[in-house]
Amino acid sequence: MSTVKHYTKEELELYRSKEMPFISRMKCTDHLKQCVECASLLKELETEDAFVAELRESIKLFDELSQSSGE
Amino acid sequence: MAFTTKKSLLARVRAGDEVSWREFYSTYRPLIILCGRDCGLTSDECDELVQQVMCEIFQKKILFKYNLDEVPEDLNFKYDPSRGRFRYFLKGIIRNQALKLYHKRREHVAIDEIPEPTSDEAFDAHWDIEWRRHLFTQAMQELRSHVRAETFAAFEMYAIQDRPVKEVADFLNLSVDSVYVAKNRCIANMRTIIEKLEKK
Repeated sequence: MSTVKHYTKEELELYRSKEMPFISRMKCTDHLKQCVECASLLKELETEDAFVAELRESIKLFDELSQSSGE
Repeated sequence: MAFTTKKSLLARVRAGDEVSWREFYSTYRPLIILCGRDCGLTSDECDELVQQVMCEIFQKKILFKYNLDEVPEDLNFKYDPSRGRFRYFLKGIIRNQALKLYHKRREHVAIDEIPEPTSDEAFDAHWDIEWRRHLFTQAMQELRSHVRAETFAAFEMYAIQDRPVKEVADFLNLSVDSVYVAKNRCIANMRTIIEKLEKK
């Protein structure tokens, strides 16, 4: 019985940011076409991007307002 | 950026702990200003709104005689949870004070020159957005005490400051993989903290 090797979140981060070596990237692309679990993890990373963007925007806005003297 | 290590300010306020003017002011001023802007108030009116809300919360009419930066350090207020959830208590005060400022403007400007005040429905929708932003900033401050300094730094530089992952890794002497691990760990922690803050 063969065990399927799933990708970690960190590996998928490397994959989507194109930092993964070319051959590994091709393997990962093939794997993602067949593995629902890893495809779902990749989707999760995209959801987290939206969360981080909202967080970044909130912190930037509040920092600006905290530093302003009310002008 | 001020942050509390033991218990968040919000949690202490909700628990009815005494909270100082300065701590409360620096934490809630941005939220109050954003709500003021949402209500169509000018910059000057937003500043006045901050002062009015603070005075209402601390119930110290005498505060009007102080410059906001010179308010005595020993002014504290204790929130009474029987007045409802703090979130709604604060929202009500901000809304009322914003309306008062709006009506005050009418005394000086011709009615046809000023727009209609923001409706309650619109204010509610804006409030939810601003409160969520406020929670995000509070959670970020709490996160510091939940993860290692290096993990927090990696997250802050990569996710919040939006710096390239390689640059962050080199700066912190970490692998790129470790920066991603830090990001994922911090996001998981942030979600938990935000969930807890929302439930309280």
